Amino acid sequence: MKFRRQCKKYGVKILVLCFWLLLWEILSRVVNKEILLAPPIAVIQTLGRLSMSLSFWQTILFSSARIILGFLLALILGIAMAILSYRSRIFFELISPMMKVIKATPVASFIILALIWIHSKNLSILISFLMVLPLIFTNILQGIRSTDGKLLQMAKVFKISWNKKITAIYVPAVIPYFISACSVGLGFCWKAGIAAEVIGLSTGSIGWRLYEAKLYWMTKELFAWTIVIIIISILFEKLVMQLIKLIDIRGGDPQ
Amino acid sequence: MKIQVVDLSKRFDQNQVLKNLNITFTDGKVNCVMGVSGVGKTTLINILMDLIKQDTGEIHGLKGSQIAAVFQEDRLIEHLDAMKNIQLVCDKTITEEVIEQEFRLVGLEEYKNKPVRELSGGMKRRVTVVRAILAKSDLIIMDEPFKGLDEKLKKQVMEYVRIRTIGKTVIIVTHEKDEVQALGGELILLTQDKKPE
Repeated sequence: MKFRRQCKKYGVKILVLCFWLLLWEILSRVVNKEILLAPPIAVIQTLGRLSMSLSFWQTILFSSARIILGFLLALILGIAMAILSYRSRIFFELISPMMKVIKATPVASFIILALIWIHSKNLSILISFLMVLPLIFTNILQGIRSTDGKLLQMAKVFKISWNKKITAIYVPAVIPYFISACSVGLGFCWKAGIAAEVIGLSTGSIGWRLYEAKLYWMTKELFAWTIVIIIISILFEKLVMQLIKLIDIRGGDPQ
Repeated sequence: MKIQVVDLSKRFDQNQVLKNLNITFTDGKVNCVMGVSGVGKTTLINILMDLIKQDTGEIHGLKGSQIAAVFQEDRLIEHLDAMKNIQLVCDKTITEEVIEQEFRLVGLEEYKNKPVRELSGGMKRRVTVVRAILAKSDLIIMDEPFKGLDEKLKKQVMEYVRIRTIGKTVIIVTHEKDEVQALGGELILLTQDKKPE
């Protein structure tokens, strides 16, 4: 029964994928100019050819390492700032306008401004960090504030230790907000990080390869690299979600 | 541990809930606080647990003491099982075997590993009673601990509480006089003029 359900689920997904690939193929035939819209088979062949070279993997590593670093820094600092804001009203009042400014500022402004301050090689770290930080901060703070006050009173009366209080009361309350922040933040940091690489012309990055493909009208490569970004983004999101699930399970255990 | 409430007053906006209340809770005994709804029983124990502050008055004999409680609502961690809810408030000396033994006495042995959210109201109530009994404490405060239990279970749990609290200082808020008798408790009646009889 479960197997049949799984087959049905994946069958539907494969059918949906086939539909879009078919539509892409039809459109590319209608356009009939590879330079404007490369056909899916040609893109997949290009992707296969690119993946045979060492530089392909080096490029992926270069961009992934920097964007992931930016994401992780935002995660650590966002959580720390949310906790401090929860504990101190003054800190919250101090930090709140900065977060609002970061949220409202267009990513392109940040990229151009940051290019003045730092080397283009490290631009994607700063940009992905800035895109994710307010999201993590806002959601974690909201999660902490949503913690059941009556349970906190119970913990106060029984004098439950702070580590048990965190794992048994705070973490389960924050997890849904954390998942939502990570899910949105991961998409954001990849998009913004790659944009920063393209604008900053960061040599050896995926953004640089995209720019190169655009410069020489290599549409197949442009599509292939876009697919690479989507795949890495999805894989990274899946990995982070699995890790969060692990925290969620362990978070329930007071021992 | 003798707890004295001296000239305690508490007002919520225009509602004077407690006014110049004076009570002495007997040390090592079950003190049953009774009174009609709205007379301030829960407000009194919330002040004793330091969950709300009184407007005026003093409480003597509570400073630095460890309190265990059964709240009016269960205040259990719903995603954890009954066993883990108890372990959360106990030190390492309270082993799983000890908790199991207590669960057996209140008819919960089969439900010890079920998440609390899957338990009935009566089962949750019994978990909260066991939690208050097993937690290390100088004072146990119980706000209507037998609420939601049928007659048979109520008798069983009352007997459990009576035996487990011998020699301990306990404050129980109740509406039933038969509970006071069954627990061998001392009655403290809160009346509308906020003076105990």
